[in-house]
Amino acid sequence: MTNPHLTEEQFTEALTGDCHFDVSRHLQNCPQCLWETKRVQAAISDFTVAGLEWAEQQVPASITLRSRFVPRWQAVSSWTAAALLAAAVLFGVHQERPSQMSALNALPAVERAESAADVADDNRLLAAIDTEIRWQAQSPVSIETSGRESRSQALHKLAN
Amino acid sequence: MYAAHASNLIGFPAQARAVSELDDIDQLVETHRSRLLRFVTFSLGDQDLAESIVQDTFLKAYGARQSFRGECSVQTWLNRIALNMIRDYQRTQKFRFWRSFGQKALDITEVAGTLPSERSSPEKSLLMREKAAQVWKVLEGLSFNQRTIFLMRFQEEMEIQEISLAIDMSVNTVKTHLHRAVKAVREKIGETK
Repeated sequence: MTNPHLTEEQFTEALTGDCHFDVSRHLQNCPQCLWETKRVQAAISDFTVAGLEWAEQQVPASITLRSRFVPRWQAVSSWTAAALLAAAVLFGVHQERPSQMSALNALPAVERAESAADVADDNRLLAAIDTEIRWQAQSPVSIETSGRESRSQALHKLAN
Repeated sequence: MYAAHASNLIGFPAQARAVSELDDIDQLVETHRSRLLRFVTFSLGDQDLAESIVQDTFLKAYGARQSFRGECSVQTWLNRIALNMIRDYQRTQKFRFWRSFGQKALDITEVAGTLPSERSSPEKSLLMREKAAQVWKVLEGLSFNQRTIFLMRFQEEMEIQEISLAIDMSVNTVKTHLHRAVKAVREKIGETK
């Protein structure tokens, strides 16, 4: 004796809409199975509609995007910063050179004269030292005493 | 050769349309957020977690939009991403922690209360809310796979084959899960008759 109504599996097929021809034909001829199918379908439909209505009422939180252009802008800003730095350094060097030259030009004439005198004194001192060394070489016996005296005398002369 | 060329001609605009749809994230969110939120919320049963996953899904989809090949609808693609994120999240300790607290469990009375009452009588509206609440109560007690497959089939109206691909299960396994879920729902609804 065959079951006069749909089996569990056939009900599932009927509810999912993935049913064979014989299930569809049965539903057409069996009000009880049709009613049962519609009852469950209605409950699922109510649940589905309620879920969507509820979801639509939820206020969406703002989605903050990290733009794909951000890295590019970062790269651009890095290059810009590097270029600005290079420009600033070049500008600084350009500005500094004339200032150094002008500072040199602005040195007092007295200072320059003193510097020349210093140089002349240094030259004279070096010449005296040179003479002293040559003298020591000529009289190696008295190197400890006479040499020192002569050198100190020469320095004293130069200092005065 | 002609057929291949024709299919390219037919296929290209669809894909191009889909990609352009994905390019505008505001439009993407506006179009798909409600359905995605519903799917994720009922899959997880936690509203806060669902909100977070929905946001992450949109960001991930936007980031990976170039990989979308237009082989399925955008909604299905989003569902698939969300499902992967849910699974990833479920593996974490953090998920178990928040789950144990039931941070913001879905309030089915609130959900059922949103059913439009102006289109039906108060009695019928009340009955609809009761039915919706009953279905959710049954789904809550199902396994994650059974519940998700049920939602995919009845809420998202995905074909069995699509579900099989999205959830990475064989068609027969999907059918088995779906059958168990439907049977449970039918029995529970039947109890109140």
